[in-house]
Order: sequence, then structure tokens, then C-alpha cells
Amino acid sequence: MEYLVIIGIAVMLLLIISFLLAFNMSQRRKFLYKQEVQQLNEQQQNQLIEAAVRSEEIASHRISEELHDEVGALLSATKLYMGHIEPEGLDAKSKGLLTKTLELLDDSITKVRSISHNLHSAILKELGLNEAIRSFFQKIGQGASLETIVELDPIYQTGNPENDISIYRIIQELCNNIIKHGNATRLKIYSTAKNDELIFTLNHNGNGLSQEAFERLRFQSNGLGLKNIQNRIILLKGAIQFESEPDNHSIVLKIPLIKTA
Amino acid sequence: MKDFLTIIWEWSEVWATIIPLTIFFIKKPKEKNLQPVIAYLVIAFFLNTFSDIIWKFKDDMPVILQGKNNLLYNIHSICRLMLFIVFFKLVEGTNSKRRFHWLMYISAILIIVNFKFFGEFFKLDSPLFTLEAIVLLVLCILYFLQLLKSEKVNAQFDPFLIIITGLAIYESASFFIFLFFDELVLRNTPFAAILWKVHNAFYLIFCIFIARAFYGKFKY
Repeated sequence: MEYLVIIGIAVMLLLIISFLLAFNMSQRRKFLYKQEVQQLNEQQQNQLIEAAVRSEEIASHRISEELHDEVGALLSATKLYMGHIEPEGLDAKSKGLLTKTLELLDDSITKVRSISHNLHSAILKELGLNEAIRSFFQKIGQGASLETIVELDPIYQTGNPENDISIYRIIQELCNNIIKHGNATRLKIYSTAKNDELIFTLNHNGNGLSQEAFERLRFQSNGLGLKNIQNRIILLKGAIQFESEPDNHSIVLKIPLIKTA
Repeated sequence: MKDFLTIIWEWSEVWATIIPLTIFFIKKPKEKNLQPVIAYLVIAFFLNTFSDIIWKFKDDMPVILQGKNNLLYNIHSICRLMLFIVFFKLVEGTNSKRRFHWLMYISAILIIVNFKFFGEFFKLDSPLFTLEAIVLLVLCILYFLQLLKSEKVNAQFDPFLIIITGLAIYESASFFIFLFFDELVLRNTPFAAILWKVHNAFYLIFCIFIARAFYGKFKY
């Protein structure tokens, strides 16, 4: 009986240890498989986002070029022809109408050019991200009752022009939202490039968005702008953080820097 | 030195339960559903302490207490069986509540029938311990099989899995000890005593597993 007990204990232990080892191996294999599937899904999602973002960029370029070359040219030609009208032969009312028409034409040409430049990323490619942001802030600060401050880290040098376009579009969309929905009177942007990370901080005194609100709104069908921001952030492998305090709201955008050889 | 180590080992059932209890009071694990295990450890600590005192100082004990440590071992086995059934019920969630209630009732009926017709409450009862080992071992295996069948994989630290692994090792190693213990005590008492020391070693391993579960994730 003694031997039977000893053999019994040994067999039971052997069985349970084998079972536990098999269980552990199976769970590990299952976990690795799940991880692999998740990675593939993420990769696929990133590819889709990238394709969507790039096609959006291509469409923007096309619209920008058509606005500039077609509509801009037509407006300029109209202005040229209007300029040939002799005001001397006109009565006072017609003179006033002509002056007003020329003014409106000037405004239209400026607007079309501005929209075209916003949609086009030529300035980005030629002068870099910092200069494009400065130019954009100068534009939104002109005329409007918005005070803009720009403090950008000059150390940052463009690593990947495609990523710069995405960063620029995110900042553009965020600023447009701040102006459109936030009713801000002061908007400040500053950046730091350190520890392989580019950090942009947008400060404003309008109505701010909390992180929870951003997470909620980006899933709503009408929140296309926020969805685009999120897609571009995924593409850049970055992060966005909304911090809200009374009279001071900030949005922190963190982008990992990719070193090019 | 050898005597000292022998004494230490003879009291291992008592200090083994102190290890997870100490870790519990230091780390205060936040996981729900650990209450049956904590309750078991507290009950086991008192039962083991009293049974070891009764056995160790049997000559100085009043006649009424002499040999009553076996009764405490039987109570310990019943508590372990019931509390771990409750533990499995909590771990497996609300879907299997009824199944565990039935298991508890059937176990209680089997225990009563055993003591009424076969066993003696004041003697260490092998069938009772064997029943406990079979039920808990089957529950452990079913838990593992359920995890294997499940699509979900938990990569996080899982204290329940650690406790159930410890329980499975303890019950599987103790099964044959429990099954033949009555018979061995009659036939070969020194061998039975050695086997009980082996049992204590696996009980210590079980308590270490519980302590590990209470400790939580290691911080590197």
C-alpha cells in the first residue's frame, strides 16, 4: 500500500504539472496569436487612415489649384475688364456701383487666394512647418479681433514632409475650431522639440473642450474635423490632450520625431 | 539544530497560513471575490493552531480535549471545501450561481451521510478529505478548461488563476494521502506521519501561491 500511495502521489503530481504546463503553453500561444491579429488590424487601420488622409490631401491640392488657376484667373480677368470701364461717362449712381464692384472683386480675389493657399501645402514644402504655422497665424490674426502669439522652437527641422502636412492640418483644424466654436480673443502657440518628441501647445481664452468631450465628439457623425484630427494623430503615432481651466484652455499635441538617415 | 528544524516543521501548518495573511495585511489587495480565501485562511490559522496545540501538548490537555485535533482537521476540510466552492462561484460569475449552489448542497448531504453511516466525527476521516480533494480538483480542472475554451486571453496579473493553480497542485498531491490515510495510520503509523509531513509541504506551497496572489504585480 505504501508504494501505491507514493506512486499515486507521483502520478497525480506529474499529471497536474503536465496539465498546467500544457495550459500555460496554450494560453501563451493564444495570446501571441491575438497580439499578431491585433497588430495586423492596427496596421490595416493605419493603412486605411493613411490612404484617406493622403487622398484628402490630393483633393485639397486639386481644389486649391483649380481655385487659384481657374476661379482666380477668371476673377482677375473680370477685374481687368472692369478696370477698363471709364468712370467719366457714368452717372453718380453707376460710378458708386462700379467702385463697389471693384472692391468686392478685390475681396473675392484675396479670399480665393487665401482659401487656395490654405488648401495647398506649397508653403510647407518650401519653407517648412514653423514658417507655415507662422504664416497661418498671421492670416487668422489679421483683421479679426484675435490676438495671436507664436513661439516655435527653431531647433525643429523637417524630418518627413508628409508628417509635417498632417501636423499643419491638425493645428489648422484646431485653430479653426477655437475661432468658430470657442470665441477666443487670445490664441497662443508654442512648440518644443526635445527627447525625440515634438510638442505643440495651443493656449486660448475661449470656450475650451475637455478630453472627455473630445473623446465623445470624435465618434459623432457630424464631428468630421475632430475625426480627421484623430485619424492624423493615429497616423503620426502621436497623442492629443485637452486641458481645461477657467479662462485658460490648452491643447497639447505630442508627435514622436522620426529620425531620417 | 535538527530538533529545532523538526519543531519548526511540526508547526508548519500554523505558520504557513500566516504567510498569505501577512501579505494580505501589508498589500491589501483590491480585487473583489477574494473574501472566501481570506476567511478560509483565518479559520485555517485558528483550527491548525488549536489542533497542533492539542496534539503537541496532548499529555497536559484535559481529557475532554485529548484526541480532539482530528475533529478540528475534519472541520478544516469542510470549511476548505465550502469556502472554495464559494470562491469558484464568485470567480466564475453570476451565470453559474445555481450550479455551485447545487454543488454545495450535494457536498453537504454527502458529508452528513458519511458521518451518519460510515465515518466518525472525532477521527480523521479519509472519505471526507477525499471528497474535498475530488470536488476541488474537478473545479480547478473545469476552471482551466473554461479558460482554454474562452476566446479571451488575460495578459494581466490574475490572482484567481494563481490561487487555483496552487489549490490544484495541493489537492492533486494530497489526493492519495487523503484516500489511504485511515488505513495507513492503522497499518504503518510512522509512514503515515511522514506522509502527513509531505502533505504539510504541499500545504505550504498552496499558502505561498495564495501569498503570491495577494502580493500582486511585481514592480520592476
